Amino acid sequence: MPPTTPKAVGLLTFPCRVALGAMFVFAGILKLGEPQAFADAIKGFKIFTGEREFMIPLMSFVLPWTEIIAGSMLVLGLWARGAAGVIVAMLLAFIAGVISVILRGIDTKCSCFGDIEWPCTGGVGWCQVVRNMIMIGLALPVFIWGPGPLALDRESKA
Amino acid sequence: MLRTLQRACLIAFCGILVGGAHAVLTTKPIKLKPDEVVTELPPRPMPGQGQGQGQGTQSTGSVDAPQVQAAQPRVLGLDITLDDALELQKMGAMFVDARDRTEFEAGHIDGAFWLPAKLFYESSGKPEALNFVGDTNTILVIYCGGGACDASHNTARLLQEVGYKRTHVLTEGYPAWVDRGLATNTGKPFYE
Repeated sequence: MPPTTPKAVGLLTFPCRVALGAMFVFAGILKLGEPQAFADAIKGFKIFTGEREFMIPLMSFVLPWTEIIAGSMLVLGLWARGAAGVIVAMLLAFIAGVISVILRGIDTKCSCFGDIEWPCTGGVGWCQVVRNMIMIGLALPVFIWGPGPLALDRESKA
Repeated sequence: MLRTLQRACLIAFCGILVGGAHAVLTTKPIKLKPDEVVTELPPRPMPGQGQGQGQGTQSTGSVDAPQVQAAQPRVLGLDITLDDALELQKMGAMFVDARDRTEFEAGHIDGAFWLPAKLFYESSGKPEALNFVGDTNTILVIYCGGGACDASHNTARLLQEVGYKRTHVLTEGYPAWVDRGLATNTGKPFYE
């Protein structure tokens, strides 16, 4: 049953917002620590091939920075709905990429959290799809009901 | 809702702007491929002249010609076939496995070094295994799972960055080695 009071909304959205935001900031920092490793991972997905290969170096920096910016804004509760929207869009794109890799039978690494393989180990597979769907589940309450308490936004309305 | 959408677009735009600026200004630009490599092989014996090593298979990555030009030395590029790799092995080439640890331990080319890209990142470019590989003039043949795997090219690029310029990639990968019934081993790398 959806929360109906501001307090109930806060109890739901605050932990979702902070946990998801922190996770995205962490993931972005790890990727920026080794952009070449992340570029190798993007290349392994074989989505940007041929003439589109020039996108890989760009994506190696744009994706982590977008994760850091959107994640920070989610933690701070600043433009939290917009940040949650960006994160949902990114997660949907990641899910599409992972499913395309699985369907094409490509054996590659995710590098979603740099070298850390948690909770999904080994190559790209359905585990990453489920993990990303859970993260969408964390982002949706913020997108729908706003940031909840301890936010720089004043837009939280049940 | 419209305001949320506008803000989402602005956040994404900021990410693109900052990321794009970082991509342009970075001191370590992203490299997508290893450099081309050229290794010269002695000419194959003329028909009826030798034992016919590696007969029947022409090199994909080499610019060698059929038997009419067999007396000329052959040049191998970055990507090589199993026959080319076997010839390089006779010239003292070492094999490098770029796959995961579990895959390596389940089975690898006998005497191969285990050097996946992540070892380079964890050790700031100088994995301990390089101490056992030999000097930078050593010919290295890198392999992964074959087919669509990129791991061998990634390791080749990283090896080139630390000075090993004579790096070749066995494009058919480990499965081709096994299919040919050549010597394999299991367990940890021999130097651990």
